[in-house]
Amino acid sequence: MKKIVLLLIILLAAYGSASADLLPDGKKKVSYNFRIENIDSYPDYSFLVYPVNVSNGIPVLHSYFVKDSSWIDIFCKFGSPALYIIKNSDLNKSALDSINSIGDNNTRANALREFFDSKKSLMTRSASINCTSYVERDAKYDVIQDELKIEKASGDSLVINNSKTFYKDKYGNILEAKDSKSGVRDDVVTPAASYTGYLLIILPVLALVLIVSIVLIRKMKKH
Amino acid sequence: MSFYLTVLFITIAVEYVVYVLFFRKDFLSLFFYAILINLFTHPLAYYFYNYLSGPLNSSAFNIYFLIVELVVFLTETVLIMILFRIDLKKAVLLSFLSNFATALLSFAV
Repeated sequence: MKKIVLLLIILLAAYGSASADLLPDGKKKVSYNFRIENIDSYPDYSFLVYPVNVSNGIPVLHSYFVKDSSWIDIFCKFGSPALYIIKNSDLNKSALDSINSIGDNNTRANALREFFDSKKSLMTRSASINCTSYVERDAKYDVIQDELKIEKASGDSLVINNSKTFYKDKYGNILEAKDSKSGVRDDVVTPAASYTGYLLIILPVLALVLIVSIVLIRKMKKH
Repeated sequence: MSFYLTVLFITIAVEYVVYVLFFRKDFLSLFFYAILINLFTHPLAYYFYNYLSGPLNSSAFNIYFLIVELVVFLTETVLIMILFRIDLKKAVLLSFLSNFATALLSFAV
């Protein structure tokens, strides 16, 4: 019996420490994604995100191309990546692709560092991504979406501002939205967000009860 | 009105039109059954699609969409068979037509 209790204590302790490693105390994990709304206006430039960690465990670093204005999901347990801009003519895309496809984590991380160091003079860096992976456990939202806008992009400067931030629940309802000028904007907040969740449960139950009732009434009528 | 309820009403309306074109009689019963069937499948499909794919997925067409649509198709086939009291072949055809119409609409909207 003592052995079993001891085993349970060890298991609980191990579970506790493993959980603590994954999720900070009092926090919950949220998804973060961003998009650059006017990227199509800069066809002569390539936009890169680096370093992007794709793992929840040990860092697994990659670099992403921002190809269009669609949403890009990033995980940022180890900090926010930066946005880089470089002229298409100065960038060897296939070289960067081959570095990203390196299997070994350390080799890829070193190669990426070397690549970005070697292009330092040709690239402009912006710190405009404000990535968040953990928020207070009480927070109602599960997703943070940043809409970025390029104000100025040229060979020696990159100005990207955050134009809007959306806070959404897991169903995609906007719970809160902020823009860079006026703060909270009520007009884009989904007012029904609070009751949609209940509807998704109540409606099928109600429908099922009615369907079963119809079948039973038909059977009773037959008899 | 919430975005979800709007989508639900449009789905019911489209499936009702398909049922009407298929049966061409008992319009009131068809409307009632269209509501019942969609009240059962639509919220669950909406929940699981959002739960599986997440709101981050910018593409409407993905593997989760196919899985959810397939489950909805099978569920509606059974419900159509029970409520409309038709054979399996007709139920499969009607379920396919109605879900095909709403799936097409989801890409258009």
